[in-house]
Amino acid sequence: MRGAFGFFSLRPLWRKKVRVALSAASVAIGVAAFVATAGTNRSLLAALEQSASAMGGKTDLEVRSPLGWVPLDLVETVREVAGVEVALPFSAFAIRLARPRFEEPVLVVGVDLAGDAALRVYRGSGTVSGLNPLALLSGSGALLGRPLAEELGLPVGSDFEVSCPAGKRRLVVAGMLEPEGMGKAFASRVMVMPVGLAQSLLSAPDRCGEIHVLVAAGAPKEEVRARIEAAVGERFLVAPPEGPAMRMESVLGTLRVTFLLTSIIALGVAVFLVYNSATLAAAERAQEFGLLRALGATRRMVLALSVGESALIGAFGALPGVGLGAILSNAATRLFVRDVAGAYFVLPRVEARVAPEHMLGGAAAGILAAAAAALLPAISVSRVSPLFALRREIREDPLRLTGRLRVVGTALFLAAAIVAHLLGPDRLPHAGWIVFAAISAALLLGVWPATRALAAPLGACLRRVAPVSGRLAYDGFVRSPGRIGFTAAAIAAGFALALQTSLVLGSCREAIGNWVVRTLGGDLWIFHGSFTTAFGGGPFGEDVLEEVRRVPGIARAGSARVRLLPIHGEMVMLTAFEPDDHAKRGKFDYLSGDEATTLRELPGRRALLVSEGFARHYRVARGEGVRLPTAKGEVEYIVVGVVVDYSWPMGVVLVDRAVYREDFGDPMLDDCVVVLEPGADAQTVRKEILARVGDRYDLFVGTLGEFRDEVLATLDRFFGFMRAEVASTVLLAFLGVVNAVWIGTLVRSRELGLLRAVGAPSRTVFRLVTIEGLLIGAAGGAIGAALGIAVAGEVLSGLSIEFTGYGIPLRVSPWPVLATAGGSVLASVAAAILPARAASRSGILEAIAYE
Amino acid sequence: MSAPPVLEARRLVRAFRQGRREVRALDGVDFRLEPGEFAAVVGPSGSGKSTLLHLLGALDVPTEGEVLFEGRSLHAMSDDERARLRRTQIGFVFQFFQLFPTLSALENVEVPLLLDGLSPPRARERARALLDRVGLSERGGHRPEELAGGERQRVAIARALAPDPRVLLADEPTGNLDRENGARVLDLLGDLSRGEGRAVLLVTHDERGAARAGRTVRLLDGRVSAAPEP
Ligand SMILES: Nc1ncnc2c1ncn2[C@@H]1O[C@H](COP(=O)(O)OP(=O)(O)O)[C@@H](O)[C@H]1O
Ligand SMILES: [Mg+2]
Repeated sequence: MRGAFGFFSLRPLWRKKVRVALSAASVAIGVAAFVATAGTNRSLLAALEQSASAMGGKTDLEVRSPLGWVPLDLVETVREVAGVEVALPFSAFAIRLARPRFEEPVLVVGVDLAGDAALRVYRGSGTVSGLNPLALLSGSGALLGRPLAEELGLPVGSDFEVSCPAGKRRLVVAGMLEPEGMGKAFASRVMVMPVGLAQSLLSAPDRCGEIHVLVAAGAPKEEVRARIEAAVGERFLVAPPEGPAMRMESVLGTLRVTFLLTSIIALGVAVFLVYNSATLAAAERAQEFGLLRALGATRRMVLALSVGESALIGAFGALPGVGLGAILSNAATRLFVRDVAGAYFVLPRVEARVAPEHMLGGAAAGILAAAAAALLPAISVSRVSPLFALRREIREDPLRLTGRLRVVGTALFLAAAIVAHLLGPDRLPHAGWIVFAAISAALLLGVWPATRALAAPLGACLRRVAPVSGRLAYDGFVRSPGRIGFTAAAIAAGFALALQTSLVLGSCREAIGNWVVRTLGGDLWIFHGSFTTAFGGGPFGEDVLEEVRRVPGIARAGSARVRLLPIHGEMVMLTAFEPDDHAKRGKFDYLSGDEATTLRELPGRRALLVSEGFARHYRVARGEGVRLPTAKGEVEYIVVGVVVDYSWPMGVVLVDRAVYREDFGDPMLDDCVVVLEPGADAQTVRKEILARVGDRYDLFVGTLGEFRDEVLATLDRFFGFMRAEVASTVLLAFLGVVNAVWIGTLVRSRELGLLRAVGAPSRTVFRLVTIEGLLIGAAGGAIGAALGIAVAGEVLSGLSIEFTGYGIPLRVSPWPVLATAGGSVLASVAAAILPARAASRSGILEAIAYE
Repeated sequence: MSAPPVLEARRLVRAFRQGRREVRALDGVDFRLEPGEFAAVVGPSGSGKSTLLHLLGALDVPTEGEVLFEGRSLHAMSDDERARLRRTQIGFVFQFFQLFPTLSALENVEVPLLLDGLSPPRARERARALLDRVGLSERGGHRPEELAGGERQRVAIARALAPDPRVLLADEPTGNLDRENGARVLDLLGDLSRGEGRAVLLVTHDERGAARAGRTVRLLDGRVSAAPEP
């Protein structure tokens, strides 16, 4: 049996080099997409975990507050609790470097110089070994990660400038940290300084970020924790260090699910191609396998031979696929970290790394998928009767379901999809996924009846135009529901994915672009840092707003503080804005409430507007209360309206900034919005603003149009990432059509030979085969267009609501739809050309030789 | 009686559906092949000769009646057991050679041996010896398309004999050969079975083929017709 494996599984691969290469390439693409996605996720999480553990050190417990800071004098209180060995202040935040200019975030860590070595590892460069480098710090000195200092060209003793909430500050390089322990945090883009200096950069000298506690050896951790809780009061949280991964997980969940979904579809289409290829091999080699059966091979042997062959193809594809995935993972990680996740989080530089288990998993998935794809055709081939060898007709269609059953099943699944869609995620948990499952089932069941129904009128036309080839092509088409149906499904799925991506992007662009202009409004926007990335210099002082209001050419200037706040364990965005100023430049889209009510009930009161997602997620409506963790403890704010807001996937609450400043003790700003006087020149005003406040902060001033374009560009980059996967899926679907049409010509080689024997020119055969491609493409295109619209609609409503709480209206523009249908037809006809040429050139006698 | 017949057909019926019509290719055939016997089946085209051979060779399943191999009903066997029978006990020589076009002559002969689990070196050794016996030791490395018709049929015979079967079934093995090559093939079939106790059943048009047989069965329209039986 093992010897037979060489004859009947290995050698055929060598004979069919081109086709094997195609199948292997498709598996490689699928595996690569999978490995790259997994690798990107993994790299991101690994980088975060690593930073967190470097910063956490040996910390057992942390004392935190929802506001992100605790008073410094609380450290003493905690220190006095029985069972506490060490209690130390700790602050960490990202900052901008103004000189030398550096466009990426740097992490500032503020610690207690005397005690911190008890918790964390510090190793200085070029210092006497054993010396704690923290001892080098004094005045405005900071320890820089050595890789960062080298990247910036800053030797020990040199000075540099940062732009932070307190304004621009000059600091000195007091020493360097080897990339080890704390020196490894944030991929070594880190600077360590006394907590007092760090807090002065934030203009909050008597605070620190959190308190890190080391429990005394032998003391019961839970009891100590309870004692600390009692000592600090209920406004503070005492808990083991929290991993940043959890928070990432919830916010980036949607994006990552989208990636994963796309790579699963890519792998699925690859499986389809292998299936097709295996069917082709089965059709070609049914006789050979029949002969093997006649010579005494059991069914299981034949099954093993043909599944083994596909598993080999899978292995050929999986190995380069893993390599390709590892390489892609690099680019994908960079893209994802900088352009996608970077919009939500301040992230360190992330090294792409693919875990061995992902490589092995990807390779195994490829091989198994290929073997599984071959199972159906292999079973059908193992069932050929031994006598088959002596005959020459080929049976197709392993899937036999009666037509009526299919139509009824399809209708039921479609009905289920519609019902789930109408119910929506509010009334039916996971409605989006149910809709997808039902649509997929309907596609699998219904693709053949639908294909046939769609191709019928076209077939009738073709018979008029080309009586012989049109007739025969349509007959062959109708006789092979399995082959044609699966192929139409693949081409439909490929193009539906492309259409869906395009429609979703188009709808998001439309909705979000309009929202920026209509709701945010204004002429010029001032930020501390860049437009859309989470990374900036932090908030800035109100003095900027006052100065800006004095710039000539400016009619009005408003401001907002934008920050994250934990509510019930999730990070919600809080926007504190100026309602009256805002009403003069932008309009909210209300889902409940209206502008007049807002202007009456919001200013000066503990009231808030909530975003659609927030309202849905926390089940609050107008008139109800939301408790916010303020500097005065938990305070209830009353909901005065529900509005559209796309700025944060986990939900947004909007409050009056005057109330916020009072309740949160926070006068800082994250942006200023300027409305120009009629006729004022935006560029002149921009220059004037920078001239007046540029020495205080490293600010960024842009027009509303630039702001919107930047938001849309981020969106485009995210979708650009997905497009690569979509393109490979379409390519795979194309290869699938090549294969399927090829099978058709093999299955019908006798008929085609006969046609030529009775005098049909090779042109007729060529036409016949390309017409089959045309029929598949037309049906696949129509199904794909419908499918793409349906899926896009569901992604924007059901899935979007499930993940972000808000839906986005679907906008169907005719161009992508037409392009999908046309692309499908063109691709299918093009795919048919190669097999058509081969069929029209094959010898007549060969085809009709036997019997 | 001592040993049971190698093959026995009892009231064998094989019906085929041709569109709406049912065609009875075999219509109640009784037949026995004794150990070591050399018998021939003759009859006009379409009379059911191949159908009978397929049923006897466990390649097909009868509509009615049964086939017994050494007294055991094929009907009672599983598909796997029938496959095992084909690869170890019954050698089949087809009219159109039915060689694997991509394998060399030697490899073609190895196939049933490898299927039966013989190690590749031992299979090769035995295949060489067999090719030697059919006079093709020089041609082992050639693929079927590089061989002449007679040579191909000799490879097929070597393959059929490879597992040292109890019975050899040959369906018009000379039908596609010229007189001289046909005669050689017939000689081989006789020589390779005589003295080894192997039964041979030969379907043929060829009078000389029938003449070699100890017994001739004549088929007509799916039935055994009254014929001279020595
Ligand atoms: N698979 C089949 N399907 C339908 N009819 C068949 C099939 N095989 C054989 N027949 C019919 O059975 C009859 C006997 O065929 P066969 O045994 O091949 O005859 P012979 O070998 O004597 O020429 C013929 O009429 C033939 O058409
Ligand atoms: Mg015959």
